[in-house]
Amino acid sequence: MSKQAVSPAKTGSSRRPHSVEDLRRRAEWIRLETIRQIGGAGLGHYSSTFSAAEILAVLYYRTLRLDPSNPRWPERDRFLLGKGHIAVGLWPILADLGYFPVEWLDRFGQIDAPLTDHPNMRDVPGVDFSSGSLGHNLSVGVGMCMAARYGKRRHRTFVLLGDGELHEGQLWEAAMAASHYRLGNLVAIVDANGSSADGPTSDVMNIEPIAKRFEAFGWRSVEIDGHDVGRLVEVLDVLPDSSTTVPTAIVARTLKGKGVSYMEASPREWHLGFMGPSDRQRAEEEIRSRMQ
Amino acid sequence: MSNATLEMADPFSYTSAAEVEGGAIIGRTLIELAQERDDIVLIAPDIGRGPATMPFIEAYPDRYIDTGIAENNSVSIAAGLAADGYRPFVLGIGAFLAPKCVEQIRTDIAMNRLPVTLISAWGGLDMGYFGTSHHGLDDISLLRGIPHLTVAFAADNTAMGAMMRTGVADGGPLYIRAPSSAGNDVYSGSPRFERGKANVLAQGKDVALIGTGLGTALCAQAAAILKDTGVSATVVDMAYLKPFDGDTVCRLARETGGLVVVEEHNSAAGLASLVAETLGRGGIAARLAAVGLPDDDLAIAVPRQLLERYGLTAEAIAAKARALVGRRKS
Repeated sequence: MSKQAVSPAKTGSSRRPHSVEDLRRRAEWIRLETIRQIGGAGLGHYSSTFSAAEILAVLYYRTLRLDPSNPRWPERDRFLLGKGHIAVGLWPILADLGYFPVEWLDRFGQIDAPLTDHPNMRDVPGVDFSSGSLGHNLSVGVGMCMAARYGKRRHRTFVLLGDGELHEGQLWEAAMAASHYRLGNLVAIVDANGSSADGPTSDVMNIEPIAKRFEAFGWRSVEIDGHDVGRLVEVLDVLPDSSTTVPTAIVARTLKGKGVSYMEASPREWHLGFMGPSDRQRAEEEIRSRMQ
Repeated sequence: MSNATLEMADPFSYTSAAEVEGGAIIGRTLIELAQERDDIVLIAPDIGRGPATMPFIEAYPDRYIDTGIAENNSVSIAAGLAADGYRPFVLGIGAFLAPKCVEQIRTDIAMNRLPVTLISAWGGLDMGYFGTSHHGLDDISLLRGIPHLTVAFAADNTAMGAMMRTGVADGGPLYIRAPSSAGNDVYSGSPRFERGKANVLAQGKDVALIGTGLGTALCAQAAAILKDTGVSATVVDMAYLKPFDGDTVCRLARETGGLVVVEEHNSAAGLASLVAETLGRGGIAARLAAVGLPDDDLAIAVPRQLLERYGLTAEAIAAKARALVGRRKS
C-alpha cells in the first residue's frame, strides 16, 4: 500500500476524512506492521491486536482529534489503551502520524527501546497514559474527563478495553463513577473478542450481557461488528456531544486473531507467541491479498 | 458535632478534640492551597464529612470527588487528573488506603511520577477499637519498595500541614500518614521539612531516640524523662521513610552508639528494619532497641490501651533507652 496515499493530513484538530476503504486497508497495514515488529522482537501479542485493528484504524485515522506536532495539546482527544498488551498495534500508527521516528518501530521490544509490549506515557510521545495492569484505565479516563470538565474543555476520552478486562472489579467502580458524575465525554470501546487466557471469556467468568451491564450502570451502549469499518465509522461519527451527560459504551464484537485464518482457528495459541518463517509468510500473504 | 456523635466518641479514651484538630489541619491546609492555586482536587472514598473534608467541600464543591466506597477507583481517578495537570489529594482510611491500593499507587501514580498526594487518616492504632481489620500498621512495608514514591509520617498537626505543602511544591507522588489522635505536639512555629531529610529535634550524647509519626512525640516525652535521670538523649523525627535519611542514622550511631527506634507500625517491617539495614550497609556497630508492634495477632481496644499494651509509652521507651545506656556503661 502506498503510505502517502493514506497518510492523514496532520492538521490537528480537524477530522481526517478517510474513506471506509482507506480505513479497511489501514487495519490490514496495522496487522502487517504488528507481524513485522514482533518478528524483530521475538515475542508479542498477535491475536488480540488483530481483533482491534479496525477499531484502532478508525479511531486514529478518522475519529480522534489530535495534533501530532503537539502531543500535549490540551484540547486533544485522549486515548487510553486499557488492554495495554496490544501496544504493538498502536506503535505503527503513532509513528505514521509523526509522534516519533518510524525507525523506532525496528527496535520494538529491544532492551532500552521506548516501544515496549505495553505502553509507557513517560517514554513515548502520543501515549496519554501508561497501561499494562488491566482494569485501571477506565478509572484514569474518569479522572481525565473530570479534568476536562474542570478546564471547560470539549474533548473526549476514549478507553479501549478487552472483554476479559471486564472481569476486573475496579472497572465497574469506574463505570459507576462515570455515570454518577455525568461524564458524557467518556467513551469506552470493548474489544469483545470473546477470549481470555483460560478460555472463552464467559466460560472463564461470565461477562454477558455486556451492553446491558453498562446500561445498568447508567451508560448508553451500542453493539456492533468490530470488524465492520463502515459501522464503526457510523457509530463514531455521531457520538453525542461531549457536553452531554451519559457516557457511551461501544461493544465491538470481534474475532481474536481476525485476518489470519490459522489464528482465527486457534486464537488462544496466538495470544502471545512468535511466528516462524512459514507461518509468517502465510499470514502476510493472506493479509496482502485483501489489500489489492 | 451532634450530641449523638459525642456520645459515640465517649468510650474512646483518646480525645475527640485531638481527632477533630487532626482533621482540621488537613481541611485548613487544603483550603489554603486551593486559595493559592487552581489545580487542587480532593478525592475521598466515602471518608466522612468531618473537619478534614467539610471546609474544602463547602468552599470548593466542584473540586470534591466522592468515589463512594471504592478506594482503588479513587487512586486511579487521581492519576488521570494528575496526568492532565491537576494536583489531587486522595484521603483514605489508614487501614485500607495502602493495603487496598498498593497496586494503583505503584502502577498509576508512582511509575508515572504523577503529583498525587495520598493521605492516610486514622492510621496506625487509631481505629484499633474496631477490629484487626482496622489496624493500619503496614504502610511502610507495603510502600517502601515502590520507586519514586515519597513516604512520610506526620508527627503532629504542624508537621502535617507542612508536609502537605512540601509535597505540592515538590510535585511528585507522595504518601503521608496523618498524625495519630493520641499524639502530643512536637513542633511549634514553622518547621522546615525537606523531602528525605530527618529533623533533629534535640541533640544529646548518651543515646539517640529515633521516632516517626506518633513515635516522634513519644521519643520527645521519653527524652524529658531521661533528662531527669541524667541521661542525655538526641531526639529525631524520621519524618520521611522514603527516601530514607541513612546519613543521619549513621551519624547518630557513631555519636551515641545506641539507638532506640519508635514506630506505630509492625516492628518487623518498618522503621527499625530500615535503621538496621542502614547500619549493616554502613558497617556500623551500634546497639539497637525497637519499640513498635509485634509481627503477630494484635489486641483490639481503644488506642490508649493498645499503646500501653505494646510499650508505646514514654516510660517504656525511657526504660529501653536506660537499658541501652546501662549496657554501654557496664
